[in-house]
Amino acid sequence: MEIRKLDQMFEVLKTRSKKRLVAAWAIDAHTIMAVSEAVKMGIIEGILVGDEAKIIAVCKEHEIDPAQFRIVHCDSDAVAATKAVDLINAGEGDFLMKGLLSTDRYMRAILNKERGLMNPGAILSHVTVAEPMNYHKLLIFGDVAIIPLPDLKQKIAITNYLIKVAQFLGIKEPKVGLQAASEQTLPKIPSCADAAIIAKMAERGQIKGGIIEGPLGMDLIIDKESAVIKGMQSPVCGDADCILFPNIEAGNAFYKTIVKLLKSHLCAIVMGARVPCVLTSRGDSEISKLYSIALAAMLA
Amino acid sequence: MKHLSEIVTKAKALGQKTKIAVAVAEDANTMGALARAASEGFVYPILIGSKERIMALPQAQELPKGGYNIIDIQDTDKATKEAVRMVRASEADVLMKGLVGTDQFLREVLSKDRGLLPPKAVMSYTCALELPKYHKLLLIADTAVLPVPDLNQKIAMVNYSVKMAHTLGIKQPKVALISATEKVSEGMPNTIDYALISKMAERGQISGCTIDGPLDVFLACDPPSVQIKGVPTPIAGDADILIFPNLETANAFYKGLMLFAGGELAGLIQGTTKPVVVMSRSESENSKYYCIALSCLMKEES
Repeated sequence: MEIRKLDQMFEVLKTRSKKRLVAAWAIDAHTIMAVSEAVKMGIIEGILVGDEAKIIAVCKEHEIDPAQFRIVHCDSDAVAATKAVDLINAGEGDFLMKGLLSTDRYMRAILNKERGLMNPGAILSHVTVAEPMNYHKLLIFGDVAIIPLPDLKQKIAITNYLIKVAQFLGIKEPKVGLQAASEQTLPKIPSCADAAIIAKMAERGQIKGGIIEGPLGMDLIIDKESAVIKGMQSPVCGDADCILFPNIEAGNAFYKTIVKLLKSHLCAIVMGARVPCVLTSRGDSEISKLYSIALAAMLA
Repeated sequence: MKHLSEIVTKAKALGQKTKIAVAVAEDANTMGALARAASEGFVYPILIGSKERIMALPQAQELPKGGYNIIDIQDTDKATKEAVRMVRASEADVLMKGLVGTDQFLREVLSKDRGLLPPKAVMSYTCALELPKYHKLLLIADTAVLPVPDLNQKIAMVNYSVKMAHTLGIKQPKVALISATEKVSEGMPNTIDYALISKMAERGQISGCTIDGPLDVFLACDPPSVQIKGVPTPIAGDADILIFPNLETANAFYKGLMLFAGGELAGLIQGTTKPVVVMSRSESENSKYYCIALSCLMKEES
């Protein structure tokens, strides 16, 4: 089934066996409530890594039954992320989520060479799935958070992640727009040049699973009429499932515009580790956290 | 177009003699082809150099009476400068190198205030090959001038070759950008340039042709290979033009073919305001003659 609304992920997950979420330093109400909500919906099992007394206290305060979780005690946020990653590596959990610890600590535990979650040479990147209210389908894009200025190799990795996420959401042959300053191939503008190279690589079968077009201006990616006016004939134009942004500024501005200006829902995931990793921020809404957990569960 | 002799037919059909200024026309290697073209009536040679040494060449005896002019200048440097000046002043249509070093000759062609190259223009070399085993003429670049062309120079090579193809009556030439593989990879920087060029063509930034690359020579010129490999390419083994990544590759390609497969060629310097003929001494008499005929056609375009 092709997911066209984020809510539909819940329906799909309810029909599957539950994946086990491991939340690192899950001692805050935000995290515990999001996990509790997902557990209650019956879409995951929750493992909370953190100070047991604190977790139980927060549960009590918010009238959450702690018995619905498996609680793995640890004393400090300094060791929580490593402990959570260890659980995944021991096969006791299927995907990871960040609790109240710093992003830096969380990422370091994932990236740790000896006991982290990375395969050699893998590239860690952030993928967002948004449900823009005036677009006819989901939009999957990156990287708005981790890689500031991806080089060609990183852009190819991100493109592959976008396609993979889309496929896990049931989109069989996702259409990928490579966003750039112009649809012209201007060799001196890196966004245009890299997009042209990636599109050609896709044409040669070196990137598989999607229909890839670029360089394209943002208008051509999401608006068919603009494409018609500019004479651009590509199935991607106006019907893109995925967008590769050339840098974090472009992606991040788009992300925040969707959330704040369009008031649309979205969720996100970190790709590239051996398991999907949830990386929500405290600024995210409750529903967005829940969607992010569901997205990771879809991919786990 | 299948045969280089068709270039000669077209040159004759122009109905006017092309004036070719030959710098230091004391060269036995080129005089034969020049005399032949003059005798057949489509070329009017202006021979610049020592009159004595020119007339001492056995091949000069075959020049048609009244069908040529000699400008008697003893000094090589002065003769070369005068030939370039005449072409620049439109007193002649085509410039040709005689018994003067290529470096010295091209220095004059490239001179900013006396030469034949517009500011910022790229100088390159395109060559049309007639090959016994190919079903039409095959244009290739750059066999002689640019050692390691960058992206802009490669684009210039494409545009010059396309223009030559148009002159030869090939309306929408198929341009293959040649590499060792059809895959795009950063490890082979030329394939990156090729990806950019083919995307530029797709976006209409290069026109008048169909471009694809990277492709290897098989995918460019051999339809069965295209089928076997299953690479979807509009060139489909029917290329009119091959753009090579560097001079060594292009040069080895054409010389290998001339030597082992037979065939003839007609080549010209590209990028100049008027055609410039520079021939290798080792080329066959016929090839030299075809180079001259080609310059007659290209002068119409310059």
